[in-house]
Amino acid sequence: MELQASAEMIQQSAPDQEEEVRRSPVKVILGSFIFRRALRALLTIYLVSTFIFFLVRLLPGDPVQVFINKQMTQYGYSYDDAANQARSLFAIDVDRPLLLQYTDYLSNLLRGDLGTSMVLPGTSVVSIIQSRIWWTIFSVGTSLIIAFVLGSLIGMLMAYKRGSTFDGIASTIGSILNSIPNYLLALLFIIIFGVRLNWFNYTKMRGSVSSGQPVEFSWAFFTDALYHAILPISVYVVTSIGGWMLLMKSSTISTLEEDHVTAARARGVPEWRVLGFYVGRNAILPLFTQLTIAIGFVVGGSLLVEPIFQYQGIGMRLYESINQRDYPVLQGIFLVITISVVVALFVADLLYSRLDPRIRS
Amino acid sequence: MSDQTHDLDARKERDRIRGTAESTAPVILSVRDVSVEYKTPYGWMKAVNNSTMDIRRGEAVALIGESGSGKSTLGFALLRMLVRAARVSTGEAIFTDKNGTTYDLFRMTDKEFRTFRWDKMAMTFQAAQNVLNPVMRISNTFHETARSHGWNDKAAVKAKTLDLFKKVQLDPNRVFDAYPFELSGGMRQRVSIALSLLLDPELLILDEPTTALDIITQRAIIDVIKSLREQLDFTMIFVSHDLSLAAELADRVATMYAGEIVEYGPVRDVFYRPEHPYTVGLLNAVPPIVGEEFTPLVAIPGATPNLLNIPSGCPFHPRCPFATDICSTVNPPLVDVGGTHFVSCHNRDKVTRDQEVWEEMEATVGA
Repeated sequence: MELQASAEMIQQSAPDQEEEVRRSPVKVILGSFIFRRALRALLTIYLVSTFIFFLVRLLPGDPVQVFINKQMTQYGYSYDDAANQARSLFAIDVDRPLLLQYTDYLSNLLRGDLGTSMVLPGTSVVSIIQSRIWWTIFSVGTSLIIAFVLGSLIGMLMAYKRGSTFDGIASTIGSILNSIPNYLLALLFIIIFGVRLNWFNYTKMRGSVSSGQPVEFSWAFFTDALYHAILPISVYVVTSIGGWMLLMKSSTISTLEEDHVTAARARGVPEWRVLGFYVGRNAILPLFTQLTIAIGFVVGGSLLVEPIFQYQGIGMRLYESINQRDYPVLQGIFLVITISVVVALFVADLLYSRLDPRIRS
Repeated sequence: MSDQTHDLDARKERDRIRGTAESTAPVILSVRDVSVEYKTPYGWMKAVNNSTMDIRRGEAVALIGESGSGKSTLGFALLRMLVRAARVSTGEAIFTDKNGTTYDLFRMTDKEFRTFRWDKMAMTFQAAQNVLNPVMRISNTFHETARSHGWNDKAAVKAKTLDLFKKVQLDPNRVFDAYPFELSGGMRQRVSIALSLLLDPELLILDEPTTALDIITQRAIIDVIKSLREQLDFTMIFVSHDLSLAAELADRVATMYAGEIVEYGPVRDVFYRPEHPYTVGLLNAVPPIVGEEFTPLVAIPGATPNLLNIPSGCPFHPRCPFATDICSTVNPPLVDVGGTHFVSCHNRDKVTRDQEVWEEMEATVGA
């Protein structure tokens, strides 16, 4: 009797559902979560590129002027000669109004043209960035994943065994590691393990790949790249894992006390499912927010570590550009950093919405 | 057809055993001398002390008392869901299912108990709004629970769930595929009740089923529980500090004080002829459940004792207006005063609901 009644109710409500499906497709796309997030990402990129443009133009000490002065003092050119040289080299017309310069900049940007380097005349900024950025994404990305996965597993274990000797030791180590600056650890690595203990040949490990090794899709290239990246990766992992451990521990402890975990156990849900789907899945959510923030610090972190290991990544290039006051390259790197952070955040947002249904609505 | 006759008989039987009549239904849960202790930095703290009670098939038993009286702890202990720092130190609890198989709750292995719990004995939690995993669909929670008990027929589970949703007055199709955050507090409480009934448990423990809800939702949940009791065949223990809820839902009431059951009997006897001073105090402290005239409310003087340092003799004697010398030395046993009404008090003959006695006591203790 009752079953029949419920079957009737299913039939009754079916037309409502169909109506929902028939909503205009344009509305569905415009209102969708992904579309809204993508729009936000594009807006962010536009705002930041505008900001960078005005920041560089309005900074005291015009970079073009700096170049002209350098040409005059170093090579004895007259001002007019030096200025003409600058104009032809950088294709910058300093006499054009700022607004027109801005529209030029934007249209160049849309065509993927970030200008040319001041220090290496004729070399495009895009090619400089392209030759460096993948190394950083590889080394920092790998270490971010390793530290996140390993850190949250250890943190979860610490929470389960809270109060135990393991928890005590791991907590202490975690907070110590969390407070060591990565550039300091990089120096310590070289001095202690490289120089004093002579565990590895740190001069051979310099650079991002051995000279003579072609960049190709092969096992030899992969192992060589890994060999050169192992030091920066270890430094990133060691200095960031402590934070993930402590975060996951506190997050897991509070999740373990949640009623739905107790209730799941009461219902006889197998322990591995409780750990994975009730504790783990909910405990990881706050860490995911932290992860999106950590992505933003990726290049910031590599800025000081890469020069120490002479790792040919974007961080080291940024460091060089700052020293050489190579403004177009600086501007390009900042822009690429911004875009990659925005894209990373967008991807993280999508992943997060998969993990937490509350975000989607 | 035969099912209907059976239902009718069962209902008749339930009606008969309610009220003051001496129930003849078989005992479903026999609790004997159960004590529960919590580990604290100052030693083991007794939260439940030698509790003894029999619950008969089909009854609704209310455990009432102030916060910290041990009522929830007893409920959790019976389902072996105490926190790590707690242990059942003495006593036993025997569950007898409808086939006559007995289960010794505290001596079963964890593995045995995992299959037993929810199948025979289930629970609805106090903060039922939080018992659903926020990142899991309601449907998934029901399927998972069934699967954990070896019920793999997904279509049957869904049909059963939708049927239960109707019984708790939820829109089955809207709720089944929803996430918990898409439902209101009252709806989640209904889902939680439906979830506890998924495997047709014979005994359901409800821990403060209405406490976390607003007054309108409370009313709705009470009605849901009442109608479920009429439609389904299960025994019920519910823990509450709400006397009106107990009066409305319970057949029998157990009053707990400082971890002890001090009075246990049919709801009418306990509420109309209370014989334990603490029950009297509780009744004086709330507006009358029946009747038109309003009597002034009187609080029980003093405060609940520190469970690490329970008073000697009867634990209630420092707050009791009827206390005599013997009360501070000898803890009175729970004795049958007739009609399955049990009381633990030396001076039960003198106990009255006379307001003046209590007001006077309040004045002395307050001074």
